[in-house]
Amino acid sequence: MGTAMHEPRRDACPRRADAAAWALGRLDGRAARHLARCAECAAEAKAVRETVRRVRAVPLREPSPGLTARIMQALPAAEAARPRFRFAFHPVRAAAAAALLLALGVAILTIPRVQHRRQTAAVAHRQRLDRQAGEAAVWIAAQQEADGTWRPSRTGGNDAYRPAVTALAILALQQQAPEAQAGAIRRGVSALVAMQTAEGAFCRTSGARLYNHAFAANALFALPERLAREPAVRTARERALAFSLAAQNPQGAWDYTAEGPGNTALSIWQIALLTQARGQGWNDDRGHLRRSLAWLQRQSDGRTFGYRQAGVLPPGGAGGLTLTAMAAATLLDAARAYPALLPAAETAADALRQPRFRDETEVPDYYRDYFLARVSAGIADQHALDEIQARLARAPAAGGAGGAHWVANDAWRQAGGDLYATSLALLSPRTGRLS
Amino acid sequence: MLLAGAGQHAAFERLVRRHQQPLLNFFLRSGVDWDAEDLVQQTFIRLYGYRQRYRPRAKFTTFLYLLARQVWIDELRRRRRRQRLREQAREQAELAAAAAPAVADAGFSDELQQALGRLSPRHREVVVLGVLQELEYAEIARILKIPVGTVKSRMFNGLRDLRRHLESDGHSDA
Repeated sequence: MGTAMHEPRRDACPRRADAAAWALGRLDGRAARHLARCAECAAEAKAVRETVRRVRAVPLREPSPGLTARIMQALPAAEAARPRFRFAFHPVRAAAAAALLLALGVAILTIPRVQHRRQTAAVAHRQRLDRQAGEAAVWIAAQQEADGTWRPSRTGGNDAYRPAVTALAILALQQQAPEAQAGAIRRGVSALVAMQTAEGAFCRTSGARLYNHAFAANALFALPERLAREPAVRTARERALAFSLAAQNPQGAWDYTAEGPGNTALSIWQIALLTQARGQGWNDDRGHLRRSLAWLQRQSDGRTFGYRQAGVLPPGGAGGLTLTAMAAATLLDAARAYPALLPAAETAADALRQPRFRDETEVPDYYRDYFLARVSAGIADQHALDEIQARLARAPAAGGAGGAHWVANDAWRQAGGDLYATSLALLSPRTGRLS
Repeated sequence: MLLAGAGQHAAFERLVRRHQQPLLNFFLRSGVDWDAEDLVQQTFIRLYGYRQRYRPRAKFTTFLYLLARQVWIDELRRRRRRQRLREQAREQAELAAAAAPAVADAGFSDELQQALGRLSPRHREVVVLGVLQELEYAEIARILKIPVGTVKSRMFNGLRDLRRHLESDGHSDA
C-alpha cells in the first residue's frame, strides 16, 4: 500500500522534492526560480505549505509542572549510578554555562566507544562469575553436614533458618551442578523431607516458620521429575502445599500470625510456591493463587509495593526496591499462566527504574539483587543484568576449603551467612530469558 | 568526581526548561504512547553525562535529538522484548478468557497523531524533526545519519502522505 502511494509518476517533475523544502523555508535561490517557472511544483508546494501550516497549528503538549524538578532531582543520582559517565567537571561560570551547552557541538563518535567499553566489561564480569560459580558449587557441597542439611551457623548465619538455607543450597546445586552434585542434592532432599512436621511445615519456630516453609517447599517443587516422583518427596510436596493453603488468610495473603492483615514479602514466597505447583498440574479450583495475586496487586500504590499496605514501607523506610523487585518477579512468573497480569508486571518492572531506587543499589544485598536479576532476565533487560553482575563480580569472595564463595556482607548475613549469599549469587540469572 | 557547582546546576536547569517541551512533543509525535516524560528525563540524564564532551562541530539541538532518538530506540527495543514475552505468555496461557488487554494509547488522540501514525517510520521521523521540531535539513541528516538529499525526498514524500491521510481522515469523520 505504501509503495503504491510513493510510486512516482513518469511525467512528474524531477524537482518536486523542492516543494517541501520551499514550504519549510529551506530553499536556495536557484530552486526558488524553478518553482516560479514550474506550475506542477508550485501547486505541489502550495499543498505542502497548507499541510505544514495545519501540522504546526496543533498546540504543543505542556509538560507536567513538576517535570523540571524531577529531572534535576534525578541528575546526581543518575551520575552516581553510572560511573562510566564520570569525568571532571570544568569550573565554568554559571552565566556562561547554558550558552556553552547550547553553542558547543558534539563528539558523536564517543557514544559507540562508551557502549563498547561497557560490553567488554560485562563480558569480563560474566566470565568471572561463571568461573566463580563453578568453584562456589563445590564449596557449597563441601559445607553439607553429615545429616544432609546445611547449617547456617557454620558460615555466620542463624540455625533457626536451617531448613531455608538447606533449601537454598539444594536449589543452587541443582542450578549450577545437577550432575556433579547429584549425591549432595539427594542427601539434602532427604534431610529436608525429614524436617517436615506433622502439620506439613518445615519449621516449628513461629517467627521463622513461614520463610523456612516457603523456601523448603519451593525447593521441593523445583526438583527434576525423577526426584519429584519419589513417593516420599511427592507426599512431602502435597503436605507442604496443603500447609500453605491452610495458612492463607481470607484476603488471600500470609502473615506471621493468623490474624495478620498480610505481609508482602512472606506472601510473595508463598505465591511463588503456588505458581510452581500450578505449573506442575495442581488445580487451583478454590482460587487460592488467584486471590493471592489479586491481593499482591493491591499492595502497589502504582509505583512501589508496600510491606503490609500500599505506599507503606517497613520501619526505616528502606526496602521499597526489594519489595517491588520481588513483586515484579512474582507477577512476571505468574503472567505466564495469567497473561492479564502482564500490564501489572510490566508496571512493577518499570517502577524499578525510578531514579530514587538507584541509591538503594549502592548497599550490598544479595537477596534484592537475586530478585532484580530475575526481573531483568524476565524482561530480557541485558543492560540491567550487566549492572547486577558487575555488583556480584565486585562482591567480596573468599577461598577456603572447596573453592571460592561469596561472603555475606548485607542485612541478611546474620540469618543465612555465606551459604545464603553464595546460593543466591548462583541462583541469580546471568542471561535474559529471551535475549 | 567533582560535583557540579550550584552555578552549573542552574545553567543545566535553564537548559531543561527550554527544551523539555519540544522534547516531550518530539516523543509524543514519534509515537510514544506511554510515559513520554520519562523518556524526556532519560534524555536529559544522558545529556548531563555527556556535558563535558561537546565540541563546537554541530548545533546543540542536533546532539539533543541524537540522544533523544537513541533513548527512543532503546525504549522500542525494550518494548519489542516485552512483546516477545507477551506472546510467549499468551502461548502458554491456559485461560483463553484471560487475554491481556491492549495497552491504552496514552498519547495524542487527535487526527494529526493518527495521520502521523500511518506514515512509515522513516518518513515519520523526518517529518517530526523537520516540521514539528523545525530542525534544518542538515541537522536532520546528521541525526539520522543519511544524506541531505535523502532528507529532502523523505520530507516531500512524508508530507504528501501526511496530507493524504489528513484529508482521508477528514472525509471519514464527516
